Formats: sequence, C-alpha cells, structure tokens
Amino acid sequence: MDVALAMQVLFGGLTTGGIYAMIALGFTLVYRSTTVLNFAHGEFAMMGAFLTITGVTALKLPVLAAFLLAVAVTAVVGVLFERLAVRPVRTQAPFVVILLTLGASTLFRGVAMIIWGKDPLTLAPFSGSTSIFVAGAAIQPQVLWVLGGAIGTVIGLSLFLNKTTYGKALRACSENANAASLVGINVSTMVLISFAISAGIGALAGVLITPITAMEFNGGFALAMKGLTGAIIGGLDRVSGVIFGALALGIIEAFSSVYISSLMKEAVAFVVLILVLMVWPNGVLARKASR
Amino acid sequence: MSGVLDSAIVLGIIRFLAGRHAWMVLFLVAAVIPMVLLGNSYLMSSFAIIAIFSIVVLSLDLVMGYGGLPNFGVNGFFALGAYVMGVLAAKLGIPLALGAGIAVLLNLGVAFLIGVATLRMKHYYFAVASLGLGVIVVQVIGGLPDQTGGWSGLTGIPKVSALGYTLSSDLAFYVVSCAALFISLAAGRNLVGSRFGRAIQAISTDELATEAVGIFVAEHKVKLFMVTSVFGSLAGSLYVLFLRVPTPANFDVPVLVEMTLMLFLGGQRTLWGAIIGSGVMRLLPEVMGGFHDFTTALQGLTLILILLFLPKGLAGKAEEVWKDRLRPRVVVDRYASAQARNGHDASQRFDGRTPGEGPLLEATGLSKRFGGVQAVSELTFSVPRRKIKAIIGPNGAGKTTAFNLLTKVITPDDGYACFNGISLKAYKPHEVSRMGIVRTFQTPRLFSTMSALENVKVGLHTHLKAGIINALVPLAATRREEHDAEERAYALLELTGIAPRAATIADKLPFGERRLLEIARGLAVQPSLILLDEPAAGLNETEKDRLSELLLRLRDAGLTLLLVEHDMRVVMNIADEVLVMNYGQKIADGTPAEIQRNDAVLKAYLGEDTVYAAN
Repeated sequence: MDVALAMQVLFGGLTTGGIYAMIALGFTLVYRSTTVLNFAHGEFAMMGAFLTITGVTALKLPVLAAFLLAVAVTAVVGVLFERLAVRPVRTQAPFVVILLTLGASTLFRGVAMIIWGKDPLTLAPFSGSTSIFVAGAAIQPQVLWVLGGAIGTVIGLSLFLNKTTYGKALRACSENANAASLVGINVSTMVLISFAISAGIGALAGVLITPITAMEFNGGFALAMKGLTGAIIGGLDRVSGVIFGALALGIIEAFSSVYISSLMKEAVAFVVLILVLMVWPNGVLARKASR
Repeated sequence: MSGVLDSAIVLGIIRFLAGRHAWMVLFLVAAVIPMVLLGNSYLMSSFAIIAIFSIVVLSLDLVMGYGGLPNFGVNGFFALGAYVMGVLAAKLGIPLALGAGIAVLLNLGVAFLIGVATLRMKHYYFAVASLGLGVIVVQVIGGLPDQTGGWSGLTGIPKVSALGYTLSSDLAFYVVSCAALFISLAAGRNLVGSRFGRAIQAISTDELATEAVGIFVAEHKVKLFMVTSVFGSLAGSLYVLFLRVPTPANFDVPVLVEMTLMLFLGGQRTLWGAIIGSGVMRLLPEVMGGFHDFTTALQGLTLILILLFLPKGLAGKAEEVWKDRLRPRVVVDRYASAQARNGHDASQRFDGRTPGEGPLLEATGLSKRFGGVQAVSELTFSVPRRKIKAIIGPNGAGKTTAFNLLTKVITPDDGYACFNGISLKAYKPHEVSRMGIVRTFQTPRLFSTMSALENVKVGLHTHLKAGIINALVPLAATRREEHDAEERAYALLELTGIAPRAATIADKLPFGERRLLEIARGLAVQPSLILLDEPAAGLNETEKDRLSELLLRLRDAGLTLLLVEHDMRVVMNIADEVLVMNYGQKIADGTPAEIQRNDAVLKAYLGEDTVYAAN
C-alpha cells in the first residue's frame, strides 16, 4: 500500500469523521437530556453554513463575526424549536416526537430552499488554500480548522459537563429527570440549554465543513444521517462511544471509497452499522445494561 | 346537533357505513371521481402515483402503526421490487410477471434476513438499522451502472401489453393502480382482523404479556417484515412500469421520509389513512402551482401542525369521531346478541391435558440473586392438582420473582421446576405458556388498544390455525374458525362476568374488570395451571367476593391455581394450601389453619414481641 496515499486517505477520513463527531455530539446531547433523537439536527449545520455565507457576502462581515452571529442565530432557532414544537409533544409516544423532528427538518430545508435556492454555496477557506505536507500527504489548511474545531468541541463540552454547575445538572437530568427535578434542578431549562448547545455545535460543524464540501439546502440532512450512524455504531449513551463511532465511520468511508468503490460509500456506512449492531445491539461502547 | 345526527337520512347513512362492505363502495366512488373530473389529463399521473404510494404507505402502517416497529426500510423493498423486475426485463428479456415474482421472492429473503438480524435491536437502534437497509439497496443500485443504469436511470423496460392492449396512458395506469390498491387494502384489512393481526397488535402494546399467552414474538416480527416486503415489492414493480426510466433517486431516503409523513398525516392504525396522506402530500404541489418552491416548507409545516393539533392524523381523527359518536347510534352490540351467547358452553374443564394425581408443579431449590440481593433462595415446594395454593409473605419476600422464575421470564441461577413431571429447564416463556402455565401480572398488562373480546382472542392464539395466507385471503374455513373463536372468547368473558364489556377498549375498563379480563385472557390459553399475581389488590370488598367465587369455580372445573396475595381474608377463604416466604426463603408450607398457628409466620408478620406476648 502506498503510504502517502494511505496518509492522504486517513486525513480525509479524520476530517469527515471529525465533522460526523460534532454532529453526533449534538445528537447525544439532546438525546441524553430528553431521550429525543432530533432528526432536524442536521439542518442546524446547514443553517450555520448558510447564515455565515450571508453574513460574509450580503452583510460584508468578517468571517469570524459572521460565523459567531450564525452560531448564535442557530442556537436561538434551536431554542424556539424546542419551545414551540418539541415541548408540546414530548410526553407522547417516541414515534410522534421522531416524526415531529422529521417534519421540522423538512420545514427548515424548505425554508432554506426558498431563501438560498437550490444550488450549493461555498465559503472561502479560512486560512487560504496552500497545502501543508505531512508524511507525504497534502493537507488543506481548512482540514486543520475542522480537526481543531472537533477537538475543541469535545474538550469544551467535557469541561462544561464535568466542571460547571449547569453541566453537572445537565448530566443529572440525563441520568434521571425525575430525581433531578426532586433535588431542585429545573429540568425544562436544562432541556432548553441542551437544545441551544446542540444547535450551536451543529452550526459550527456546518460552517467548518463548507469551504471543503460546499453546502446545499438538503446537505444538513445527509450530515445528520452520518452523524447519527456514527453515534449509533459507538453507542448513543456515551460521549466516548459517539466520538469513537463517528471517527471510525469517517475513516472507514474514506478508505472504502478509495479502495473499494466511491459509488457505494454510503452503503458501506450502513453495512458497517448493521454488522456492528448485530454483534453489539446497543453500540460498541455501550454501557452494560444495569438491570 | 344531536337532532341533526338522529335524522332519518343521517341515520341511514351511518347504518350504511357501519356495514361490512361499505368501504368497497366508498373506495370505488372515490376512485371514480378523479376520472370523471379530469379524464385523461396529465393530472391522472399524479393520481396513479398516489395509488401506488398508498400501497407502500399502507404496508408502512401495518409494520409501524399496527406492529409498532419503527421500520424505516420499506423503500428498500420498494426499490428491489422495481429494479429486479426492471433489470430482468430490460437486460435479459424476462417476462414482466415472472420478474415481479422473482422480485417478491428476493424481497422475502431479504426481509427474513434483516428481520432476524435486527431482532435484538431496540427502538432507535432498530430504526436506524432499518433505515440502513433502504440506503444500502439504493446505493448498490446506483453503484452498478453497467447492470442498472446507475444514477442516470434504467432504460429499455418494455411496456405492458396483454390481450392486444398496451398499457400506456396515465388514465389506464390509474385504473390498474387503483385495482392494485383495492386488493392491497382488502388484504390489509383482512390481516389486521386476523389471528396474525391480533398477535402483532398485541406485541406492539406489550411483548411480555404477549409471550405469556404463548405467542412467539420474534417469529411474528420476522413474518410481519416479510408481509410488508411483499406489498413493497409489488408496488415497486408497478411503479417502475409507470416510470419507464427509473433512477435510484425515485426510491431514496427523501421518498421514505415523504411516505412516513404520508402515514402520520393520514393517521396510523387506520389503513385508509395511507390514501388520505398520500393524496394530500402529492396533491399539495399541484395545488400550489406557481409557488412550487414553497412545497417542501409547506409539507414540513403541515406535518408539524398535524402532530401538534391532530396527532392521530386526518383519518385517525375521523375514525375516532366515527367510533365514539356516530357508529354507536346505529350499532346494536353484536357480541351481546343471543347468537354469540348460544355458542359455547362456559363450563369447560381445565385438567384435560394433565389428568392424574399428585403435584402438578414441583419446584426444587429455585434460587435467584440480583446483585447483592438474594431474591429467592433454595425455594422448594409443590402445587397439588386441582387445588388453590397461595404464596404469602411481606413485601420483597421474593414472591413475584418466584413467578418470574416459574414462567421463565427470568432464568434461575440454580434449581428447576417440573410441570406435570416435565422439567421446564429448556423452555422459553412462550413455550411454558403453551405447555399449560399462564400468569397474570401485579398490575394488569392488557393489550390496551384492543377491545376486551379481542384481548381474549389473542389468548386463543395457540389454539387457532389460520396462517398469514389465510389471514390475507380468508376462505370459509378461516371465517368459521374466527366465528368460533369469537364465541369461545365471549364464553370466557361470561365466565369471568364481564361479557357486557366485550366491545370496550381495554384501556377504558375500570380497574377491577381489567383484572378479570386478564384472567379471562389467561384462561383462553386453556391452561392447567394459572399463576395469579395479587389478583385481589385494588379491588373493593364486593369485587373481592366475586373474584373468590370465580377462583373457587375455576378450581372445581379442574384448574390448578397458584396465587400471590396479600389479602388474608381472600387467602384464608379460598386457599387449600399456603406457602409463606420471607427474605426469599420458604418459612412455612401447609393448610391455612396450620399457617395461622405457625410461630415463624407470626414472627415475620407481626414481629417477635407480639409472638412472645401471645405465648
């Protein structure tokens, strides 16, 4: 095997894996605080990207400002979505909640299509496009932004969850919402916060990947499917499982598209998923069933 | 309002709608309307697609609505049905009908494998894995351009011609698709009302209770997958004839999402909601006309609004109004009619399968530990035939765990139980039930969406024969069996004294009657031994007396009863033997009179001091 090529593919895999991991983290954050799988999560990535593009092109903002604004606006959309649509149906059957988020996903895509059109849009790379060479592999600077963003998200999120009062309260809600409310934690506020953070991370992922792959109105949904697949492979109920699954998925996809067939890249992801779940029905790193 | 509803014309309409075949008339009328209004216009193609999609959405309703399985893989079956037939015809010249048949067989195989592979997965894991099935099929089709034409589409599929007529106009396609939908709807309705249909609905509400009446859950889930795959496959074959040049995008995830939206918009657990949902979703773009770009947003918004304000869907809401307000005006409760009552004799015997003497059930050294708690320890006891034995003991004594061990819901760490001389070691819960041991639960676990009568009919499952083919196309023998089952179920409701509630949805029964219904459902399995977990809990004194009287009557009919019970009055009145447990161990075993004098029992119940004081 050609080492340089393998390195190149590995970096490609890490890049997509990093994005998947960020998407997957957004999924788990909401899942753990509400047991809702938010199928509209990918649309937050799409919104983040499109809003940044609008900020840069129409409002002539610097990329950083446009990006921060986009993340903030997306987080607000996440909060509104939770308040107006998710909360009223949360006590109903899981089906209803899934469907509601699917409906929201469709609505967000539809609105994005009206505002930004059907063609893919892109952003200029944040630090130019002069490739850096590592072990014979040419790497775009944007890849480093993606990897840095993914690592930063993981570190930031674990600091938040483990060191801050709000983070600990959030974890308490995910363990047992009833018990959490008994010790005085406002569960509904926690749910709101988890939606805001989840949407924000989604937007960040969307902005970072856009200079590499461009973004179209239904690009978020495709990302969501991948992030979710990665999260499920690793095991939804653990942050480490989610990151492991998403990175593994990115790398497997990259290698299979080079060494097997690029046409079946999507199929490979799900074949891996089904095989993994046949062996570990709750994901590779799932906690042992407690009862 | 009620004046209008009670007018002769309205009552006549309701009476017509309540008839068994009214849906056929309604279907034909609804199918003809677009033809009359539009003739052979381009819009007919939309209606043809609505009919074809309705078939797939209907199969989605069977698996998701009635079966409760979040199966998002239906587009895989749909795509296989289309492409297997299409490729065989276009590339190898195989006749279309034969190709469609091959596609069905292939789909059945895939459904079987996927069904077995996903059995252990729960909820979201299952949902996403099944979603994967569709993605894999579509991607493989797209990834084989030499065979399938890839993403640019498959060309060369011949037109259908039969008897010198070539199927080509949109109107002709509409008619053919409507015929296919009509057959699918009939098959779906038959399936839902059948033995198989009851089993899958039971599974979707409570798997444990379903196993407790002897139904093998895994088998039914896989079979349901396979049935769905046939609907999907045939609809796909039809769709490809209509498309002529299919591309994988015609079957990709967005189509699946659209179909799921159609199901919920229309209303799950109605079947006909599939048609309503497909119609609204597909006609919306046509109505929007110049505002085509707004369609996606509007579809999403519609779904959100439906879920928020009409969660049962359009058809679901209509059915609710129909069942609660309109139909009761004309329907005489048919179960209460004399015809059903004359059928079966309620005085059946329960010891036919286990004649003889001596103990019916013998437990030897049963032990179970949960973490640090020894829930049941070295429990040895026997239950004599045709007697009532009660297990009593303080909370946490291990009584319910003992039941779970005996019915194999949990596996003992050590020890075993013998039923009628046969060791239960190697048996699964549903097999234990089939041998003749049934149970009730501390909190009644009924099939909450089904009527009382249907609950009992689920209990009869293992004594009925109709398979899936009979379910889809019920011939005279199957209909006779169903009729017979109805009478047997009704007889059991009479035996337990809740016959007047036959048509009531289990969820709406008062608590005491739920307990009785659970017993009736257990009796339908025709057990030799019934395990009752606190049957008197939550009942008032009158209900307790009624229950005691029923249990004595069952014993006299040859049934052996083992009950866990806290109510000492009930226990001492009806039990022939009493087993006392504390901290997982047996502390006494004997007649009620012996137990009442036993020191260890008095200590456990009343505390040491009281016993010394009494002595």
